[in-house]
Amino acid sequence: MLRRQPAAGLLEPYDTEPEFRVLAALAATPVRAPRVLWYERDPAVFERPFYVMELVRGTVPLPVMVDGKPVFDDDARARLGEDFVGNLAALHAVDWHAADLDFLGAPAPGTGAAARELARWEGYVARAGGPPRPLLTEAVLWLRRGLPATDEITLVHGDYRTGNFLVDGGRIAAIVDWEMVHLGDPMEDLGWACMTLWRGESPYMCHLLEREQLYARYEQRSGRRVDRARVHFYEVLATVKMAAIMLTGLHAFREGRTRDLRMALFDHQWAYMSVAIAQARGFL
Amino acid sequence: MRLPPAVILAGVARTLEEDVLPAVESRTARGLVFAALEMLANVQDLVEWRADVREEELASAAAALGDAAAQLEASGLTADAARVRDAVAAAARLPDREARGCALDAALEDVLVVADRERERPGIDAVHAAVRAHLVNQAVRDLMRAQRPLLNRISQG
Repeated sequence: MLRRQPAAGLLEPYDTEPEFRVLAALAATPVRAPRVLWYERDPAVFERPFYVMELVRGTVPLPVMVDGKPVFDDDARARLGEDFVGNLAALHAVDWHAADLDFLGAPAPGTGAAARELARWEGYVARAGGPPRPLLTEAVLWLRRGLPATDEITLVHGDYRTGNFLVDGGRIAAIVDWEMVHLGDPMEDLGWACMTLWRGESPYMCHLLEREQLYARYEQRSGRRVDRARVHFYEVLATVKMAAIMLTGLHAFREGRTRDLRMALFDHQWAYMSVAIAQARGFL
Repeated sequence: MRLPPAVILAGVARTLEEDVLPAVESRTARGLVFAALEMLANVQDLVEWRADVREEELASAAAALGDAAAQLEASGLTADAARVRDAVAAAARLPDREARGCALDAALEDVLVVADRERERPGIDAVHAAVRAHLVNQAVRDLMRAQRPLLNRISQG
């Protein structure tokens, strides 16, 4: 399997080397992730940098109910839920310093992790431009005045959810989509996984586990206490981050830089985003 | 605030012509794509978002700003209240509906920034609540009109 650095897209500018180095480091850990083989920077080969990884067989379930039916039956949900938490706990247990992943840049102690992530996504919103979005602004104002502090800095996947893992033989075969991996607060991945967009009308986070069940299993598997206030901060931040991604896509479409109509669809899907923001803020 | 219909239709036409058409082999199907392109070219500059829907949204925003201005005044923030009322009046004079929507949304943001800055001030919660109620109602209105996403079908082709 070859993954070439995208020329443009929702998270531009792209650099695939950090995710390659993280995936290489994860080979020595229990985290189920594709094994990477080599990285090629020379643009003479395929115009843009790329890396090669082993093919992982499986299917990618999406976090969307079809005709009101659950994404997973109870058995699958139990197995995959356990794998989902187990892999997250294993990821957060990686000794990133020993694994030579310092190059990802550890945030400053205290509120540094939260401040850096908020600034990152505020930057995307600002670059996307477009008309005012008051509900998004409200969430950003709330986040700015409530930055949580933490001394726990771990690897953070950044997009840990149903839709980003492969299932084979009823188990999670690999966690994929590592392009947002960074060093930060482990509660960030929990907040992202709890965002309503990944569960719709299902009571299960990512269609896998009830919220309290997710927290309890994560505490058991990681030995780390779940700080609900921090998870809530990151759940609100998750909506700002997702909004920033959608606005970036819309901006590219508006400017005629992409013909991908999925970017234009974000215009209509903004209704779901608005409701997700309102729910995360406790307004709905 | 949404993308103008002309921008959406032009984008759909571009995708049909440059990404879909080259993959269509049936002559009949290719002919239908060209028919769709001609149709899109003819309507793209003639359509706009439904006026009654947009007017309802604008009226709700203006009413929320009116309430917020009254609450700002009651909280002693007279200058902020005056600025909000001026913004609503200025928006009403704009001939273009989308520009009015933008101006009202900017005023809503302004109120939220004031509410955040003055968050310790007694009565400021009522300012925030006036705007919040409109934003939540608007989100729900948008959701009621949105079609269920075809994410599975889009990803599987």
